[in-house]
Amino acid sequence: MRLLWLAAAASAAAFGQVGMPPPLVPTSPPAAPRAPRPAAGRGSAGPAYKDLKYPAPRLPELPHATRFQLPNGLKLVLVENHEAPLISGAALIRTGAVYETADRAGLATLTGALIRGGGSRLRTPEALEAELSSLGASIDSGIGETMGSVSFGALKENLAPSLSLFHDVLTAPAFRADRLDLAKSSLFNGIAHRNDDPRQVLRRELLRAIHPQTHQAEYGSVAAIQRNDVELFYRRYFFPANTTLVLAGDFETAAMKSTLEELFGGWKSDQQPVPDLPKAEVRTGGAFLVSRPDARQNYVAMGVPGGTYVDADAAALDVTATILGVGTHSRMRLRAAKPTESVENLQAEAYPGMLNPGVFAMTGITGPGAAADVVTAALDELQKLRAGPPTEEELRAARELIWLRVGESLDNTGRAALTLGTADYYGYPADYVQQYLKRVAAVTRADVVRVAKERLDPAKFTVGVVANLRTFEDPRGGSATLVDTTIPPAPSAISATGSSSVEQGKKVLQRAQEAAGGAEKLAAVKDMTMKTSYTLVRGGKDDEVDQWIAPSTLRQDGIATGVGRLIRFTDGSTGWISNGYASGPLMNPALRQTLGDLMREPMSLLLSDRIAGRTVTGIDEETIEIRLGDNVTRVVLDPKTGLPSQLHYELLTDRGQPILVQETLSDYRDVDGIKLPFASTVYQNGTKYADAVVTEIKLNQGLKPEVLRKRP
Amino acid sequence: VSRIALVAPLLLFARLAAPAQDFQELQKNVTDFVLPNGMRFVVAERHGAPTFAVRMYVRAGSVNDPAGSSGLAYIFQRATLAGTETIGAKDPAAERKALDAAEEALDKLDAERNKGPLADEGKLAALKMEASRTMGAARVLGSPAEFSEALMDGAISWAVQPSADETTVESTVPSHRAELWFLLASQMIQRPSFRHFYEDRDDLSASYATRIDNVPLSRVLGALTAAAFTTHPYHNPVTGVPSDIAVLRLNEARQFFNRYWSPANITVAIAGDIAAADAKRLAERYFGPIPARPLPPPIHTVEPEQKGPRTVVIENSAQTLLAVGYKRPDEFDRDDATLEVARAILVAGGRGAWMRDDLIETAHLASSVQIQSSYPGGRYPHLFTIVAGVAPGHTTDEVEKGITTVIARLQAAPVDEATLARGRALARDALVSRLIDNAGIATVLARTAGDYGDWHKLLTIAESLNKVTAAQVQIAALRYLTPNRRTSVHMDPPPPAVLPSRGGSR
Repeated sequence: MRLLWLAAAASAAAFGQVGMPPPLVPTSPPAAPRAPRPAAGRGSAGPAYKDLKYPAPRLPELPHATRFQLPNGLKLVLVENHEAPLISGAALIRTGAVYETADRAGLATLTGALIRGGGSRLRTPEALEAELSSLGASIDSGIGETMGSVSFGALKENLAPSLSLFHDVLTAPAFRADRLDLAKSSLFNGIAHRNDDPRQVLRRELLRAIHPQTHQAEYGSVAAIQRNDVELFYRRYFFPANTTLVLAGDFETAAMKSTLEELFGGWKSDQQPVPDLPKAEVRTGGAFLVSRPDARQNYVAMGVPGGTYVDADAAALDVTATILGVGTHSRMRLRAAKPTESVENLQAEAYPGMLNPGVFAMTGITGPGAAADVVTAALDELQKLRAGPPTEEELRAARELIWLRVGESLDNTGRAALTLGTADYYGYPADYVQQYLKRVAAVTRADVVRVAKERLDPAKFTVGVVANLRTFEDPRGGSATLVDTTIPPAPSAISATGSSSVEQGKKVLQRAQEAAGGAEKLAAVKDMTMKTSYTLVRGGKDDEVDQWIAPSTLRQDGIATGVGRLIRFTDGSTGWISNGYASGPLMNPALRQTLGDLMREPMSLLLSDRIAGRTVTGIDEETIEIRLGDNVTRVVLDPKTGLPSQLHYELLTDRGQPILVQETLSDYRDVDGIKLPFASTVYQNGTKYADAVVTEIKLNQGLKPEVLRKRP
Repeated sequence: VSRIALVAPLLLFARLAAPAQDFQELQKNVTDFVLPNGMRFVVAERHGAPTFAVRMYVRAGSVNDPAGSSGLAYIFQRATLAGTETIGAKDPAAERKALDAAEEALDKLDAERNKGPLADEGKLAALKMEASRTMGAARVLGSPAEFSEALMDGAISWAVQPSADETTVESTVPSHRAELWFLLASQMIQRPSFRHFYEDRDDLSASYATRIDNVPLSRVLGALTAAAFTTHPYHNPVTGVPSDIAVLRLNEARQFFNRYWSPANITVAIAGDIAAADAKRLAERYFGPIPARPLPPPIHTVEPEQKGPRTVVIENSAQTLLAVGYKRPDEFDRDDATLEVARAILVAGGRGAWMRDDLIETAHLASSVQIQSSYPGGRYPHLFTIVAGVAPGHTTDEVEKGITTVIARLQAAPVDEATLARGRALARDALVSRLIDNAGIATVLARTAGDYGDWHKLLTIAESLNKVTAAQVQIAALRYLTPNRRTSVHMDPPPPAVLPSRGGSR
């Protein structure tokens, strides 16, 4: 059915995957000089377009909403819209990363992801996903800096069961432990990559310099988060009196109200009211440099605190930024387009903030060595506006651009209803958008000069630079402070701050040894040969044979997808690596991995208290952490059997990027009186990577170290 | 907890699910009218945002490309931005004359070239110089950027999307600039000047490799339609064949435009902040004066019956891809909705989609599986098309086998109730959830009004998706998803050219 094509399907675009980008719209053919145009011909063609007169732009209309409050305090905002048989909406919850503590930074994000991702008390995550699909419905959840939300979309005819799933997710999330681990891994991944894009680094550091508010999630703070922290964070904020439920779509308000009353009326909580959202402190001035030897260009941004929607000057600041640097005819864009200008891509923006003032920002990119030019060029354009008013035409064009930006998205009723809900949430009047646009329309040329003088003092801008530079001289005077964005190292990522003790570690490990057949029996094993077959999620099968000799000799021989044959040998301190033809010494990070693998060989793992150099620390009743140098493996026992059920550890890529690995061990079988796992599932950074099946384990075959040590 | 308490939440909704008419508000807000010249308008009034979306739906696509001139319909993606006889002309009369002179010079050059071996080298060189002189003379009289600057000044967006069956001009317009859109669009249709034609053509020609050849998916889909259609114009890629594009002529573009971009062949759908009365007044004022022209005929060519499966192999080391297309009837057929539900059962949504679950989750044979129930067009019998990315370590043969196995399941028995309900819901959601903003509504209205002649067809289609039965799905699978109707394109890595040699690296 072509009706369902998302894009007019000229080509591959219909398949959405590798399609061609639509033409840039509107396209501007290469630099045609703006020649003076003779009055365009008239003839039968009607008026010339330049003679058209336009009415003033119209204010957007927000839909009519009915508001209720249930006895348990839940606020309802209902917007009827009978265009299409759909209902969408969201529960907005007063919470956010602003309520986190530094030692648990990342808790809000984790909780937000797990409300939908961790299943509910009635449904596993898999069941929830299947049920949603079968209804054509969707639910998503998330917690940002200053707001949490659980959103919802359903077909009218499936409203009842869809709403019931929504109720289940919102009021009874289960935060399943395996999903918590996956969510943590994906957060670790985010931390590992947060410095990849210099523009992102610049944006983040500028905001942190101007509005230091939330703590940055780190490996340590995320690793420290326990399931209980998530549960408590959820309970503290997700209760009816702290929630506004916005629904829009094809329903009758009265019927929907009573349905929601019955569905959510029983949602109870004795939580104290949540304190008001804390306002961020605001700082000005100064310059910082993030030194990035890999940066090919200089990225520069400078900002001062802007306004919120209630700030009388916010509209004038928005207009000023637009005149300076929004759109192809803005002053900064025209300046950057000049062939004599070394600066590329000069822009400005000043969106008002809801809770905290937005940032009036000017940004630019230059080639190597010209970072100061961005500051000079931007301040020069700013000074010109401080010295004299813009033209009437500039003012008009800026107003219209803002009008369009603010109004455009309100054509979607669901989104417009959420705008109303968001207004309530931050304590704005329902018509704050219209009020703001009216103020935009009233901004005069003199207003622009006034706010530029009063609010945009060049000395107050905080200047940020991300570049391949060791120092940066601020053209306004002084040197930039160096900001170190090095990510605090990962080891703490897998060591918890919980009660750890060697005693407890010993106890837990002994339990595992008992479960596997007893310490003495384990110690009697002299060698082991194990064949494993990995089925990779991205496709492909890897086969591997491991030969281990107690205590610390390991030879791994495998065929890896995309790599070919790979053999590694270690004697516990050094080793070699080979592709079957040639070989060389085992170096980091491969050496580190091989030593880690040696530690994780099932026999070796269980005997960790008897192998020199290893330390075993207890984390809780079922968890131990084994360390050897910088190799750390966390082992979680199955509470019922006492056998290891999960391994957590870190690998490094060739480029030193950490990958967090989780192995789930299962299918324990008896081999000569010892219980060993014959299956495992491997996750990397929270994403499933492979299923492993052990096809054979043999013990005490009489393996000799001198044989294993031989290179091919 | 008693069992009654457990089921209670579901019962509450009985009163909400009362059978009410769907799309009430939309129906109330939509007006349609036809101008005396045959141009059709559908207007959905929605006064939320101060903007409206327009979809100008022109029944001119690559199926209409004349033989040897593939890519002609496609070139209007750019050519329509060069302005009109007046907008973008420094001196309209002089420019038109200069453009015509250039065409005449090119005609003479072609005439000499067409003599083949008898062509006179000296004459050719002189004619080439004359052609390039006349083209240069025309170029200085035009400002091809003026039209797009006028759009930009009005904050109006303008994207032209050509496809096999039609070409759509997509715009978003600030509502107070409504008149500007009507003026610019009507002038473009009535008196276009493709003053930038040869530059556009040479651009398209030069970028063909990066746009099409180097995009594995485009090559696979191009090979799919080329093999599946031996006779019907769906055979040709929408983007044209490079050697055809390279010799396209302005004059034939003018003729094509005149013939296919005629008022009665165009449907304009508008959704957003515009009063129907204003839309009508502006339409009459600006599009009304365009003279009526006869409608071009539909394509009469009928693809002969396929007598067995067809397979094409493309060697490519960059990506391993499989495309499988099954011949199916046009979109006016009653099985259209059934095949859409079949698509949803196979690939839509999360967990539970048959083909995704089997090929990706369980067997790890594929890294992606997508289906378009209609490709490359819809107005004529076309293909139910499956595209899969093959997982490393596996082959297109394995994936094709996997696909036919899943299809065999669809054919073996009627799907169970839950699967059917899931497929219907997801198919319906795919349609209904587009009707939430101006762009989505305008797109759906344009297609229903443009293809079926009446936007109300939208209501029938939404309803028909809900009425598809398990038996219909099974019968459609048995009827259409058969080897006799199948064309497969395997994009595989080339076999190694020489045997890998051992040793030497030690």
